[in-house]
Amino acid sequence: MKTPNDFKRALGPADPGFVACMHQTLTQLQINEEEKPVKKMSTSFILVLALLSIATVAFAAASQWGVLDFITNRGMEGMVLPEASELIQYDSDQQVGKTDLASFSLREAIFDGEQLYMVIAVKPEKDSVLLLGSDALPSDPVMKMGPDYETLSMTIMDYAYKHSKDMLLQTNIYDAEILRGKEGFFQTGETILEADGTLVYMLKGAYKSEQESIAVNLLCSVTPYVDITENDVLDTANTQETELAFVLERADVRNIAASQEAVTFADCGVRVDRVTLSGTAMATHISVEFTVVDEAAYALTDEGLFFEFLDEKGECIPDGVAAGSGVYPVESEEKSERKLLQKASIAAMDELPDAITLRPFNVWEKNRYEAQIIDLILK
Amino acid sequence: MTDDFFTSRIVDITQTLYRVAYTQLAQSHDREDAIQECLRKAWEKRRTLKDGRYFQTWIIRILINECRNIQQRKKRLVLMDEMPRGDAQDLISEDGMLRAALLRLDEKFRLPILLHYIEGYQLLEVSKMLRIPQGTVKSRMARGRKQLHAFLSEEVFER
Repeated sequence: MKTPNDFKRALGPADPGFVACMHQTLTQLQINEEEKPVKKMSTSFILVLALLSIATVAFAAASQWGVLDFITNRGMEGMVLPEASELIQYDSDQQVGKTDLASFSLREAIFDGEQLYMVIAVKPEKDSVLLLGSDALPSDPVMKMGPDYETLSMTIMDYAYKHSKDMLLQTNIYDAEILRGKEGFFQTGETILEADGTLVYMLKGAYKSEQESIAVNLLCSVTPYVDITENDVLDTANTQETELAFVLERADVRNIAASQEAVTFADCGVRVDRVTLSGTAMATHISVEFTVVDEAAYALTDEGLFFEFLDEKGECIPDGVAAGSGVYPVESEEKSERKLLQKASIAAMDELPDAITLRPFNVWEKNRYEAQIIDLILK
Repeated sequence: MTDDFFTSRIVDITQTLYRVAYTQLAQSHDREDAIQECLRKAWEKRRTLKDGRYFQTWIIRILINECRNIQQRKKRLVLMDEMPRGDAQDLISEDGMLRAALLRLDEKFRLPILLHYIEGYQLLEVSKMLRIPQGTVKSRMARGRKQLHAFLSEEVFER
């Protein structure tokens, strides 16, 4: 049995540079405070490109990874309905993104009107090229690359050398809308390197739309590493970019249920104006629109108020497969009102319930607030 | 919050701050940048923290954000051990194996494991630090433990 102290010992004490940096910073801050007011940091926004949060998974194998394989390999297959497989689509008219070194194409996608799930296959143009996801470096263990590599105890660059690869290629996929200054949809991503050298991205994010179809544009890029024996040095002068474009149809399988009456949660100072459940075979999407009605009570939550969703037995319902959960401010016509929206997803359901229990909790505090049952009407 | 309180509390949790930065950033200069920026931001906002009980949760959340900012700038979000390659002695030592196993975890599992099991924060505190629901923290910890167990072929932490 390994204990917390075993891990603390393994991570070791703070290195001298870190400690010195802390002390110097603290000292300087105090000196500045005594001698003159600390100059306030600029609060201007820095527009940061929303790069993908790519995490490599390395669990069970699939020969050709699809949307549902990624879900299964996260142990969340029970969160989606069997009919989810019927929602998978392929755009044969897609505009494949091609560079001299690799091509990007859509393999599978699901668009359920609430969320986009896409699997993008990146194929090298030559057998001698080894593709890396945007999160991986040549000095990383090759076991990160996927289940076909998890038993190998060598770095990616050693693997490349051993398998006569003469080029390591970093790949990136961006939401082209974000690059154009618009709101994008990517929220999470994963990569897997398949046995034949195809690198597969699974991307997902919230995309609420009533349109029958949506056009998706992805900006894809490849950048070679300077040399497979050099440590992690990119040859950015030779980056190549391309665009992958396709159209997805909205799967028309949604059931919607919504509350009709507002319910006040007095102990945390909010009124839930509306709860909406949108059910698809992939997930049950929940939105909770609420208004602060008691500023003093709400202030005690220190912006840490979330709603949990409970089943009939009072057990907390686990999260669904969709990305993008969180609490977001909403503009209100009444400027004095403060409105918020919580988005979440839970497991997909055959039928939406006629009631759901909401329990507020403050992530700062230990206590939860009083739960209330919200009646829902199917639409 | 007085300036002395701020400074003394920071010094008290030096090791925790180091481990949080270490498990997110492989390069020592990145960790130093992260803690420096974290301290500057926290210092500026120290008077907005009304309840000192939440100081640790607050400062760790700021540090995690700074680490992520650096990760994004470097265009890579999963960072691994910076042990010298081929250091066989380190890899076969118990400490080396534990460190490698922890750093081999996906980051989304690694931070909840570090903060709850190793640093001893409550689930709700971890949820606030990571800005994810408590249920997600629990499921990530469970999966992280499962991965660690697989990596080490040994049970880790008491339930």
